[in-house]
This record gives sequence, C-alpha cells and structure tokens, in this order.
Amino acid sequence: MASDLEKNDIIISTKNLSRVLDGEVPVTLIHSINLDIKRGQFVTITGPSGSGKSSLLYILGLLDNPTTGSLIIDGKEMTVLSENEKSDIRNSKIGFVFQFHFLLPEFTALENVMLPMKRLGLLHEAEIKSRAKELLESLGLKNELNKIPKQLSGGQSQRVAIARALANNPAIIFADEPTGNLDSKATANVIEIFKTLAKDHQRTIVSVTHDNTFAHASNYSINLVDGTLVST
Amino acid sequence: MRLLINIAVRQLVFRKRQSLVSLVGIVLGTGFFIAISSMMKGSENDFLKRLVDNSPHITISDEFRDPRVQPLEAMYPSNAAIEISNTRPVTETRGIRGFEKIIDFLKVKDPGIKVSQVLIGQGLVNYAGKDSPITLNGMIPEDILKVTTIEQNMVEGSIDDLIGYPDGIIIGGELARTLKLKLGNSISITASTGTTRIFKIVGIFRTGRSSYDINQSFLHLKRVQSLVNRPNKANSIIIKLSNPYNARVFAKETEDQVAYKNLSWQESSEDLINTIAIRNKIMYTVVSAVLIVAAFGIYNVISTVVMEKYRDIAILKSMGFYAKEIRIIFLTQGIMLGVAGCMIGVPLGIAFMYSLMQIKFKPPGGTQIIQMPIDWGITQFLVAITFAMTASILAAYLPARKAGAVKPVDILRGGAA
Ligand SMILES: Nc1ncnc2c1ncn2[C@@H]1O[C@H](COP(=O)(O)OP(=O)(O)OP(=O)(O)O)[C@@H](O)[C@H]1O
Ligand SMILES: [Mg+2]
Repeated sequence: MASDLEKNDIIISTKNLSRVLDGEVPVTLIHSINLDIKRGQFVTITGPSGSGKSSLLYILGLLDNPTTGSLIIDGKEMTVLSENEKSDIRNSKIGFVFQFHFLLPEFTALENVMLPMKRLGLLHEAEIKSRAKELLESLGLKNELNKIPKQLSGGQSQRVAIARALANNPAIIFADEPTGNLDSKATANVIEIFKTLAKDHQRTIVSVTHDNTFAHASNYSINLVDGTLVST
Repeated sequence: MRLLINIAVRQLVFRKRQSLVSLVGIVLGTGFFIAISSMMKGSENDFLKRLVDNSPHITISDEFRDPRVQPLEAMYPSNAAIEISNTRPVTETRGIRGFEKIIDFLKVKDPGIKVSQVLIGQGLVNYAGKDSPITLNGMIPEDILKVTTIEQNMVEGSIDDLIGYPDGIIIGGELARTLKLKLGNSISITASTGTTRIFKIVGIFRTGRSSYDINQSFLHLKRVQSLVNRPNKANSIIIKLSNPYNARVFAKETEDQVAYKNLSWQESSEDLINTIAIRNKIMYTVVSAVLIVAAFGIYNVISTVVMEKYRDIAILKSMGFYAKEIRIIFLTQGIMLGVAGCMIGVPLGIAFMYSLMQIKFKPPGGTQIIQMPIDWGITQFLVAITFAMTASILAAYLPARKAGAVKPVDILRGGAA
C-alpha cells in the first residue's frame, strides 16, 4: 500500500528519454534519461555548460519533443499528445521561469501576471486581477504593480516572472538558471520563494542552476554530463 | 479572442512611430486610389455621355454590309458550268424603303424609342467669297428636338425658329467663327449635284467638339431633298434608344431584320472606346502599384515587429498560446492598420476629389472651359477598400505565419534579453 501511494506521488517520470538533433552530423542533446520526480520536491539540475541541462528541462516542460523514450507527467503519457494539447497542459499545469525575465514590455507587472490566467479563462477579470495582485504582493512587489518591465530592477522583474509562472496554480515549475542574472541577495530571495512553494504549497520545482548555494538549498540535484545522468 | 486583440493593440500602440508610418502608407494609397480612379472614371463617363448625347445611338443607312446577291448569281452559282461574263449589278435607287414598317418594328422592340428620318447630303457653304465644306442634315425640324441634343447646345437662335422658317439653316459655332457669320446672315449652299440655294442662319450651336461644330448643319428635309435632287427620300434613320448602352445589341438585331446597315454608337466609336479600355487598364495598374507599395509598408512593419517579438512570441507559446492564436495577434494588427487606413484614406480621397473638382480646363478639341469631371460612384470606394484590406491582410499574413511557427526552445535557450 505504501509503495502504491509513493508511486502515485511521482509527478514526472521518464524512460530512456533521448533527444537527437538531425543534421549532417546528428547531435545528441540528452541520452537515455531515466528520472522519477515526486510531487512537492525542489529539484535542481546541474552540470557543465553544454551538458544538455536546458535541453532536458525544455523536454520535461513540453516545449520540445524527445526523439525517443517516454515522458509521463501526472500519470499521463506526454509523447503522444498534439501540440495544442501540450499547449493546454503548459497553460494549466506548468509554469516557466527563465534566466531572463521575458516579461512582455507593453504590459505592466500586474498585466503580465494576469496573461496566463486570461489565456486559461477560468476566472472573471476581477478575480484574475485580485489573484495577480496577491501573488505580486506575496513576492514583495506591492509598489510595482503598475510599472512596466523597463521600470523594474532585475530582481524585481524575475519575481514578476515567478508570479507569472505561478498564476494558474501550476503543479510544476520549471526554471532555467532563474538566478543567473541576479546578485546574491536577490538569489537568496528566489531560493526562499522556491523552498516555500515546494514545502508549503506542494509545488514541484525543477530548476537548472550553476549556483552551488542554490543547488544545496534544493532537496537534491541531478547531475548531467554530456547529456547523460551521472550519480552524485 | 479579446485577449489576443488586446495584445495586438498594445503592441501597435507601443510602437507608435512604426505603426503611424505604415498607416500613412495605406492612407495615402487609399486616398490616391480613390481620387485617381474617380477622376478617370469621371472623365470616362463624361466622354461617353458626350458621345452618347451628341451622336445618334443607332444610324440606319441605306447601305448593306455585304453586297446583295444578284439574281443572276443566285440562278447560276459561280461554280456552275455556264459562266456569263460582263454582268453588272443593277444600279440601286438609293434611299431607305419601307420606312414606316421599320419604324413600327422598332417601336415594338423599344416603346421609348425616338426615331427620325434624315437625308444626309454634302455641300459647300459660300459666304463673302469663302468656301467651306458642310454636311447637310435634312430633317423634319420637330424631329431634331427629339433625336438630337442640339437644342441644348444652341448659343443663338433656336430650333423653333427653324420650324417656322423653311429656308432657315442651323450651323455650328466654329463654322460661324471661321466664316465670320452671324445670326440672320444669308449663305448660299451648293450641293454635290450642283444645285445652289440661299439659306438664312436661324440658329448657331456649339457642342464643344470643334470638328462637329464646323461641319454639321440642320435644315428642312424637303430643302435637302430638292438640293440633292432626291424627292421623297431619306437615306438614314437616326435612333435614340431609352437605354443607349443597349445600342450594340439592338443594332445587331435590327440589322438582321431590316437588312440595312445599322451602326451603333459603340461601333462607330470603336477606336475611342478601346482607347478608354486601355487607359483604364493603365490607370488601375498605376493606382494598384501605389497600394502595393503601401502593402509593402505593412509587410515591413509587421515582419519587423514579428522579428523583434520572437522572445515575446516564445514566452506566449510557453504559457500555452496556440500557434493559431499567435497568428491571429499579428493578423489582427494588419487588419487594424488596414481598417484605420481606410477610415482615414477614404475621407482623404474625398477631399482630393473635391479639390480636383475645382480644376477647370479646356479639353483638347473642345471649345468650352469645363470642370474636371469626377465620378462619385460607390464602386471605386468599394474597390479601394477591398484592395487596401486585402493588401493589408496579405501583408500581415506572411509574417503572422512565421510568428506562429516560432519554436520557443530556439529562442528561450540562448535568449539574451
Ligand atoms: N540547435 C542546436 N544545434 C546544434 N547544437 C545544439 C543546438 N541546441 C543545443 N545544441 C548543443 O546541445 C548541447 C546542449 O545544449 P544545452 O543548451 O542543453 O546545454 P546547457 O547544459 O543548458 O548549457 P548552459 O549551461 O551553457 O546553458 C550544447 O552542446 C549545445 O551546443
Ligand atoms: Mg542552458
């Protein structure tokens, strides 16, 4: 019984996941990855530059398709889904944070956070607005609601991006070097946010990082070298 | 959908200058298109109206398109064994036979038809020692009122004066000018038969076409008959139809029926009408080019936007936006630029049309100063709007498709801000 429960609690599971870029000389980005990540875990992916960390993350986040292997998220096989079905899952179950904030420059912080909720279309405008406000306020951006990205600092922008990733209450947050552009204080801030999300809100966080402090703060690290997993 | 439109609007408003530049392109394109086509269409209509008004819609003359088959030929076809040489067609007594029957036939076909018989002869005007050739239109004066627009073009005297005065003549203003003739002057006219008669000028007309104004004259039918020595004969029937644009078909059908040559105004002005058609093609090519340039403006702006927006597109896709939704965003921008362009361009075109209407000039070959003719028909507005919208949508479609195909990984992986 206990093992069954444990199995159900696995939110991301891969079998022999590989990604090969076609071309005159085919490039293997990741090779035969087997992973099981449990719900509510804060997991980091580490490894040297060019080892395939981003490639793996994007495949797990349904932004790219594996060449072979299987990817199961929340109990469902992902590799058989159409592009639009994967878009729907990204919209409702997945949040992304990148090294650069990638906020839409024409929209205020508040509007940027509202976008994924509007796309999902489950809540009314007013509810969307108050939820976006709450999210930003909980990330310490009470005074930045109506600023456009140009008027925000790097750390503030990244927190807006995190708020945006959290907008639709996703089960999983994928982050690619989210602190790569931040100073140590802002980095500590993001680490705190991720830890709380995992521990108190049962969110699963998978984040690529080069930062040792960041990696140490996570539950555990996955180490990639040349596209394959190596034990730590 | 509202969200997509909202994003599209934000992006357009955010890059005001670029949006404005491409907007100006469409506005000018649409404006010019409307102004030029209204001018061309206007002058074409004006020209055709003059043509229709000043010439008979159909002229039936006492000629045949194909030589008639001679009785001998009918009896002995040329491939027969016997050949009789030195045959000659019988000299036909000219003049239209069965005038009444023809009129009855025409009246059935078009109840609103106006018909007049005319005897057209050639003559020479002699006044104060100077000669000038002249075409004599012998008509029943009341008929002149019915089938010609000469009455509207009278500058001195009137057709009524001719009705009451059998020895009167109405001449054109150019002839009056070259021979220094005045109303009331007497001129002698010598017909091709050699007969000479004196006529008094009771009216002078001016149509604006100088060849017509120097050459044509109107007289009593009886007088021309005696001048050219053809009593009780007319050699033409002049017809005004209720709808002049039916003339070609009408003429063809009547000709099949009455055998005499039926010449529609379209046929007699074939060259001119063809010239207009060619002119129209050139005109539409030129104004379309203006709009195509404008469309390139849109294409340029939207593809630049798409290129600069790769990151935003990638992030929208990572949030779960479909490729189709991304395409809609950029297509919407093209449509909005097109709609706004039309909304400003059409009034601008109308303003152009008003200013063109102020231009007055003397047409070549004409004698009167006229206003630039402008056509206010709805068609050209619709054509301009359709064209501008199609161009805008097409111009946005290509970059929009490219935007929809953006692969988020390619952008997000390296993606410097
Ligand atoms: N489109 C591509 N064409 C060719 N090679 C590619 C392409 N995309 C990625 N690669 C290569 O695949 C390898 C893995 O790239 P990836 O971005 O996953 O590395 P990474 O571990 O995230 O590196 P970094 O830490 O520098 O971000 C690299 O060697 C990279 O050069
Ligand atoms: Mg990377």
